Amino acid sequence: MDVLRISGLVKDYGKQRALNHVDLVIEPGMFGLLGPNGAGKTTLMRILTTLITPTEGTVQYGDLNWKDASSVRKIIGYLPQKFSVYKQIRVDEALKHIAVLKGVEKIENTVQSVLDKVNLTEHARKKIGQLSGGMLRRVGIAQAILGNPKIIVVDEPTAGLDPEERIRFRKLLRSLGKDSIVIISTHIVEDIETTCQKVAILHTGNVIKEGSAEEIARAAEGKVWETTVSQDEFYDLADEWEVLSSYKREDRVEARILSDVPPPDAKPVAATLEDGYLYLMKSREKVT
Amino acid sequence: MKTINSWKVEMLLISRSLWTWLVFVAAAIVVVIQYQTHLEMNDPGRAVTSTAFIVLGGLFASMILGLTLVRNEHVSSSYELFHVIDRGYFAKIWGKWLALLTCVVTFSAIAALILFCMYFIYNVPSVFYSQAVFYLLLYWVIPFLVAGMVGMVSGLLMRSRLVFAVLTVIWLLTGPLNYDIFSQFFFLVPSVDPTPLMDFLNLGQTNPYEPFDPIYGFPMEIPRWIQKGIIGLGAAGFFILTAIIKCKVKFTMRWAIVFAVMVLSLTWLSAEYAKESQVIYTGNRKYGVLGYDWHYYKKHPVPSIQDQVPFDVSSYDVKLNVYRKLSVNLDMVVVPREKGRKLVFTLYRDLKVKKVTSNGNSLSYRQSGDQIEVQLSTPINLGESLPIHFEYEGISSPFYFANEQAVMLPGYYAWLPVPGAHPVMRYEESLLFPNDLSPKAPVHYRLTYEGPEPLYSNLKKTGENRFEDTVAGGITLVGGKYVTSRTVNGTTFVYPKSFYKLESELEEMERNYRGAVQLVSNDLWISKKQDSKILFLLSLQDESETTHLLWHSDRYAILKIQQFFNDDSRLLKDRAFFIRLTASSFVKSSPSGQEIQNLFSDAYLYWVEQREPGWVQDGRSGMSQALERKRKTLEMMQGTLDQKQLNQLKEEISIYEDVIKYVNEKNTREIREFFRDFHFALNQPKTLTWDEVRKLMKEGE
Ligand SMILES: Nc1ncnc2c1ncn2[C@@H]1O[C@H](COP(=O)(O)OP(=O)(O)OP(=O)(O)O)[C@@H](O)[C@H]1O
Ligand SMILES: [Mg+2]
Repeated sequence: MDVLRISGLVKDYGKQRALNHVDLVIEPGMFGLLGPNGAGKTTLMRILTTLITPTEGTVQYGDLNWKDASSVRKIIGYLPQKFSVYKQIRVDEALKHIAVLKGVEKIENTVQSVLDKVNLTEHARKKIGQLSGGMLRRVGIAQAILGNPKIIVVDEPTAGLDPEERIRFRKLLRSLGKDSIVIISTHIVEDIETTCQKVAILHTGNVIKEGSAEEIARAAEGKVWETTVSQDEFYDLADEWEVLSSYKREDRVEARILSDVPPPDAKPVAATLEDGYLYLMKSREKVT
Repeated sequence: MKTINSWKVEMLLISRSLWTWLVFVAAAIVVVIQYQTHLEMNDPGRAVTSTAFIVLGGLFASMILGLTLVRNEHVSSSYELFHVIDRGYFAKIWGKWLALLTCVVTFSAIAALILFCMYFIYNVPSVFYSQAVFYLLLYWVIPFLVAGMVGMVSGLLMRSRLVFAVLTVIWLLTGPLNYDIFSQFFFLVPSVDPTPLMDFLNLGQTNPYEPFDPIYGFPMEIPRWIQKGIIGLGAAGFFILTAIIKCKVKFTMRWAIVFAVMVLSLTWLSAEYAKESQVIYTGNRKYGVLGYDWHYYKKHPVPSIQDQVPFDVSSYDVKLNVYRKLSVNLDMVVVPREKGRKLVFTLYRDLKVKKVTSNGNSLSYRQSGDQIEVQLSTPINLGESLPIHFEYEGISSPFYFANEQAVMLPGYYAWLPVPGAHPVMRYEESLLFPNDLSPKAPVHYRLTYEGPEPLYSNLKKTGENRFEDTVAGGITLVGGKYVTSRTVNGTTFVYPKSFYKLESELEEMERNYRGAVQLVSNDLWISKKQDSKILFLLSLQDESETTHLLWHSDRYAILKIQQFFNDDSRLLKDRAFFIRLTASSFVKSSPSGQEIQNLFSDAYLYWVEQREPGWVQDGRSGMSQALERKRKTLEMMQGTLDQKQLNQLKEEISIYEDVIKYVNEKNTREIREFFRDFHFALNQPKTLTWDEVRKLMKEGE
């Protein structure tokens, strides 16, 4: 299968640079795009879905160049960050409509199978306006995978979902990554941790790290510490050090700390993807 | 397939919106009320044309519909989703366009159905059904579609609220009331006349509150269709271009061809639009019916070229072609009354002479205003006759139209060159009157006609589109879809179909008319036997709106009627009305003024009423009513009138009183003598004064 090659991508909104020379190679499977608000995730996704054109740089998939927007659109499925359809029409009506527009064959069957896949069969005759946030997102996935696109782009799929729904949603996403490229953007680390083979971290338009979840975690290797202190001591600790997480154990507090030098009485622990991400963010902030 | 599916979805969305139904029902109610009001007054034309506010509302609704259609995806946050589908949004835009078309056509079709039902109930003649469909197409369907596309294009190009301001301006600029709304600003640029531009931009009907002309019919001349075509094509081009750009659709050869065809069509349409063509704009704007000649003859009261040799024309062989304008190929025979070289003719000023020849040799001529001066190569002698060939074409007076839609050329109007120098119309006390320029002696006419059918004429029909006759009083031609005729007791009535209520009353009308003519010609000693075989009931717009004009000529007469005053049909049944009208009609364009002519016809009718006791309704005649009116005016206006006007009014009252006394006291012989004198005096070229009328009464004693 072909890979998606993004080279030297720059996007300027007037004077503001949203993407700064982004180079990425995305292989089939799940790809996570991690970054804080305003990092440029949506911008990158919009370029990938041909909604906007880059200021500089190219995107290529096999022989297909993104200059040929019309052909690209034939192989893309997209779930936008802000997604909905007409409130007054039913789920099945909406999906059939989109299926027709995509030129899908055997509309009825395809829509039915997609509905099954996202577990919406029983809500098929509900109006869009009557759906819950989670159901709506699932409709979004359903429409994105209509027509078996080679590249599926999903922008912040779990935003606004409750934890239970989120877990269900990640499972759904995982099932998509089997035979296409699925690109997920998020600022929630767990969304990616369990689903994506590859992750890129985007910060103010720059890719600051790229690799597997372990590789990202390795960035914080030897920089994550754990210590147990009393409640009073914890406040001082939090002021002085970068506390990643903490949790109470009887009257003591157990804290994870990110630091280049070991804090007093702390022992090193293994870094997670989140640690890696946060470490990279912090070091980035220090630079700028 | 994609487009059809998108259309279905749009229709689903529209049908599931409460707004749609509210607007639809409200509009339907307005339409019904509108139709009902005018049909109640037997005005089937006005029922359709006086819909300015519906059109204005429709244009607005269509713009908003167009805007909503393209905004739907933004509102529902599905814009990006559809844009990422290859040609998805493009297909949707076409679906939206189809949805717009569906709404517009459905609404208009429902309006048409309602109209048809009501036409049926009111027994409206069939011509109105088909013409109303064309009218709705021209003034509803196409404009609404254009407005909808404007809404869509604006929605595609603009995301901010500004779009509403832009749409409002466009709406007002292209609405049927644009002239009225923007005419207040015309003074800002006094050097240019913005009316043609306003009329061009107007998507609705120009002058929507003018009465319906029952002979001319709905204003649907070719240029109006072309104008809609140009605007429609322009809007469509803009729309397609916007859609292509916004959807990043490849500009393929196919699109290039589409645009090339559009540009070619636009060029062709513009060329057609620029051609000379008569379009009737009602109302008193500069080139409107009531303004165009009014302004001209106010400025030009006398002929532009002096009269030269007196002469007659003994025969006319006319080849008339009427399509968008009037074109004439004419052979006439001139018979001089004196020896001379220069012949001056009168022909309406906008009919432009292209060629004058005699026996194949071209003659030099000069056309200025209503006059043509033809210079003969050798002087023509008394007793000789000279064939002259004329070719001319142009736009007839807006009063007397001749285009592809309808023809109304009365015999007294100089649409043929007539001997002598006269103004075609005259301006008098801020009113415009036609001058009777018809030949008084019989002339041999032959006419070949091509133009709107059926055509009715005072000449005898000799074949398909051929007429021939020897008559005085010129050629009167009335033709078009809306005209019909019926013969009752030997009198042929030519009248507009929209006077269908009149048909049952023609017999009574014929009796009244014939009786009145007989009575008046006996009383007033009018030697010429008025034996009119044809009576044209025409919607002449000249003179003041309320005056009824009856014009007699050799074997035919023209009676002015107006759809606007639809109770005409009742009036025409009224014997008194006819007698009064006939009496005044025998006064030939008197210079003495309207008031004194009124006195004459009022007084004459009063006398007739006195001779037939029991005939006058409520015991009050027109004369005593007129007197009462004058007394009331005096009472109410005492403070506001100046001394001169007061004296004038008092004088009128006293004369009315005197005439009543005179008619009551004198014997028939004396009274008849008085009216004959009065009538004779009125027909003199000299002005008759109130004092002189008084003297006429004295003389009788
Ligand atoms: N249409 C636009 N015009 C101008 N600036 C824009 C536009 N869209 C995005 N930006 C700017 O570009 C930057 C990147 O925005 P983008 O939406 O890509 O971020 P993001 O990573 O998706 O953020 P979030 O997590 O909040 O969705 C931001 O600073 C944003 O303000
Ligand atoms: Mg975003």
